[in-house]
Amino acid sequence: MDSTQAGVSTAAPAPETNRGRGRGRGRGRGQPNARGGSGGAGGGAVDGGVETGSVDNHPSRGGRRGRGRGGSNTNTSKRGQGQRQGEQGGISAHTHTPQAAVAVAVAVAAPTQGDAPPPTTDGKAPEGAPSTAEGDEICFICADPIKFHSITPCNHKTCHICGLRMRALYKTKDCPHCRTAAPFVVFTDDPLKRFEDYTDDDITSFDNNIGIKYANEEIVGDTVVLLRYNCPVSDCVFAGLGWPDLHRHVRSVHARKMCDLCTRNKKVFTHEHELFADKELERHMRHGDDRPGAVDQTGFKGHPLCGFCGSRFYDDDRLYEHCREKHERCFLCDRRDSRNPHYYLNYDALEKHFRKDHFPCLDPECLDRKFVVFESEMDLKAHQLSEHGNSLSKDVRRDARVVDISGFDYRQPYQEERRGGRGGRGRGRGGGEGGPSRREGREGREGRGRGRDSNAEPLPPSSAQPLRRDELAFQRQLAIHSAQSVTQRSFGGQLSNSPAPSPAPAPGPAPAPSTSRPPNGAGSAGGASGTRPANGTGAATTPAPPAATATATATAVGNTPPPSAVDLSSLPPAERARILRHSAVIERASNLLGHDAAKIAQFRNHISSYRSAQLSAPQLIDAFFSLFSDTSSNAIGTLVREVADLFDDKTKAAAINSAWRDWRAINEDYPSLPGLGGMHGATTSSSGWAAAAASSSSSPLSAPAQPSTASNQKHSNRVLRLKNSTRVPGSPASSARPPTWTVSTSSPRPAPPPSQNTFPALPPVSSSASTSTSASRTPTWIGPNTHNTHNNTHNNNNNKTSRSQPPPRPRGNANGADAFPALPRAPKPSTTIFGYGTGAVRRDFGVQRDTGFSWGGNDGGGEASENAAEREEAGEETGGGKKKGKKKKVLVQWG
Amino acid sequence: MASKRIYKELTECTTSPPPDMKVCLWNESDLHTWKVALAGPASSVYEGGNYAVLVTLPTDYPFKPPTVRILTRIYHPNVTNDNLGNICLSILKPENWKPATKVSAVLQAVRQLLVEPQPDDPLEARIADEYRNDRNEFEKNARQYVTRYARGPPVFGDAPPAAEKSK
Repeated sequence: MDSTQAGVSTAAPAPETNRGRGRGRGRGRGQPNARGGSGGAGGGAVDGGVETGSVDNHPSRGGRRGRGRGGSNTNTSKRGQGQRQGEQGGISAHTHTPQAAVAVAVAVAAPTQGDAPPPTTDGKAPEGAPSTAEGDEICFICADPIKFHSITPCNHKTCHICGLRMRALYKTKDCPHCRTAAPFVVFTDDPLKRFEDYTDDDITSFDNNIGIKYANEEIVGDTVVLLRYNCPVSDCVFAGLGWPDLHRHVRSVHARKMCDLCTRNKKVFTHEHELFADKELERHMRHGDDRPGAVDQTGFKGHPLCGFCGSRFYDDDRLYEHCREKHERCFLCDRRDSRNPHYYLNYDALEKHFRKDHFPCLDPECLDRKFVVFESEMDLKAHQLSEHGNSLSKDVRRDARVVDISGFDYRQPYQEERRGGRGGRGRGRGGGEGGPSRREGREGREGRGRGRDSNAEPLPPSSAQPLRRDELAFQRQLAIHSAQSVTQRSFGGQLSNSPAPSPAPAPGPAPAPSTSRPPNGAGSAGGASGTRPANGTGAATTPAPPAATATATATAVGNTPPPSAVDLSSLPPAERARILRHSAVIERASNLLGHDAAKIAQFRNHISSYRSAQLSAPQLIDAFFSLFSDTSSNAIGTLVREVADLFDDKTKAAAINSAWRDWRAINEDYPSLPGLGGMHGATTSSSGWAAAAASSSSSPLSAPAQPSTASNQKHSNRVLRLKNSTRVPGSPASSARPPTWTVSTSSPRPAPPPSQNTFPALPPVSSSASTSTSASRTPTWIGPNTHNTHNNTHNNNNNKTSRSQPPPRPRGNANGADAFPALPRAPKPSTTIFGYGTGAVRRDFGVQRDTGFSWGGNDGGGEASENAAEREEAGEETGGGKKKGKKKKVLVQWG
Repeated sequence: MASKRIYKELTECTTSPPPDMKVCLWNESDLHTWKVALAGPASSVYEGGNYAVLVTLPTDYPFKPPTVRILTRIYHPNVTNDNLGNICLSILKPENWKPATKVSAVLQAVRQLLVEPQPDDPLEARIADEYRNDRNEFEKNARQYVTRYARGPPVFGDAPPAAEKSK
């Protein structure tokens, strides 16, 4: 209905623009419109006419749209838009600048004429119109033309690729325009329909995990293909099982490498990664592979190196993280010069540095405790008196209290206070032992009243040094700890005015930071007090060590009575233990999920659907992955194990564990690409990548094999590339298709008529498999066949998609890159194939069905293809596809 | 992948720059480093100053925020008072960044920050205190900085200074 209205309204501007260039434009727009009108609701391109039409006729909708648009365009200079039109090679061939002006003029004319519509839309429509005039909408984010729209609940749009990128790779489900949470977005080819207008009937598939609802199956295909482990080589259709598999493929087939750091960290689709020869990889690591001036420059400047380890890290943040964890930082130096971090290889090196440049306390206990080091000697003295006073003889103590004023340097009070503070070391000068720093001390010493005071008195340690407050706090903190861990020291006791009880109950955790490597402690020491006890408590409350946590959290839960815990004591011990375990798991999950109630509910849901066998174990793992997207895989692993333990049914538990192990084996530490676990609807996780992939490499079904071959090939390549560019050849075909698809999908396995005519049909089951295979694997089949393969692929895809319901097969992983070459290429008499090819499609179809999958035939096909006529090849290929498909499916599940 | 968008934004910014600004690339072949000459907004204490602003776009822009630094020394609560000129701008924080935000919007926010400092989210606490409690002193100091550092054309230096991590 929209479309017809659009047609009407666009008619209006056309006559208006009769003068000069305006006319040409008007016409250019009018045509696509007309087509849109007849083509039906799904219609492809957004044109100005359609847009304005909607504005006119649906003020409310139009108003919104106009606004969104306006936002995108307000910043755009008119000239910029003119250029864009030119670049897009849109509809008209006018030159930039004059056109822009005209476009605006037309746009303004349109709304006013159409029907002096609501005043609000008037203002905005002109803004929207020029951008739409080019025939293709431009994605706000990537500036590419939009093929499919991703529509958020707030009705903001991006292209589906950006939408997917945000959700699948950046793991954020917020609207990229306004950050409104968008648990689901709709991927659609209808640019006008609003999010809330989509009903369940409009959705053919949806993916719970990444939160996408698909308005038709073609989009599913185009989208899901992007999530496979596609080979980056542009004309290679291989898709791996996981990262390691893809690495192997790239190395063995293309003799190139992928940057391991990039594949682990870079948020791009697999096929967008770069391939390198050895030397190039080195250069990439060191200097980046930026191509200044090039169109595709990335600005990447290389992966930073850790000078201690010699290993590189993805970016500065990762390097920083690494240094914080693996190396030691001198907080004293950092304090003095905050511009650069001061790292040392490890604590030994740091300790040497302490001895050389600072004033560490050499008491064994303090050495043990680490990081007991002071900026000035006086600080150290104070520490010694307060901490170790009891162990010193009286004389020594007295000596220690003596401040060596010989080192003092009296200056006039005009000196600024800050300088004194900076002088740092010179501040306190005790027994005169401080050889190396003496000079400095003298220089740094400011004749401040403080110094004199401290001379006059026997210096109680607290008043002795002009410690900064944070230092004081730190000292106090130390004192508290030593007071607890050792015996009572008079001084420590005095100083500990901070809440003694809090550390007291947790004697275990408290010493912990000091005994192990206490990087946090170091940081906190630099900063202020407080962090230490924080650590202690943190250890107690947050379940860090997997083993201990279960019980710890369990008890915690028990204390804050959950409903079940009320009569906990009355239950038999076994039962009680079980409940405790449950609550522990929930506790952990909710910690990992940041106590987000909705997500926790989802988590429970997943588990119960697994229990009721609605989810398979691999699907469960997939679901976890998307749910716990922020969590490290180690933490998930722990959780998965605990979840598995909850199941009384041993087989279920074992299934989870093995699914998890499989996942780990395939993905190692690589980032996960979301699997299909969450898919529901026409494309489901069980129909798998195959179906999805099949629909992706869509090509005109009816096209005769031969002529379209070249374009098909290109097409499928493009599919595997990021489909950034508008597919000029592909788009009309694809737009024509959707109806076909939907039809075929609805009926379980109707032989799609067009495809059958052209190619021998495959047995349904196998065909579904084949499609998937063909799409992804064809290249592996090896050179000569490729063309045919592609054609076949398409056909297969069609078939497959139509039959996307084959029973979920265990996705095995049989074929990696390696597996392919190994496929039996046994020379089957080409005749078999011939039979396929020649035989009437229907006949073949029937036959094949009976056969199930004719492996022999397929294999033969592979071999025979060279000689065989194209048709034959097609037939073979399909066969091949089948084979592959099976394997592939197996793969899919793991992924 | 992002270059297209960056190029588009650059075209916009050079042809119709945000007020008080001139935008160009640091060097012609690198789309990711922009230099922006920002004139202190009229009626602010920075009026008459010319500021060199460095905008660096990360490799995964627009999914990650750009970094902005004011290379010319400036006396401002939200800009570090050193040669780095790191700047605290809420829309640039990773948790607030929206891929839809454009560089020109960022630049306008920077300008707005000069018009209206945000002492509640300071990088230089001392200056922020002064701004809150002793506005006259603050304005005096800020103007002093303008005359001392920001007269004359903005100085960018030869190469874009490496962003030092002050973590």
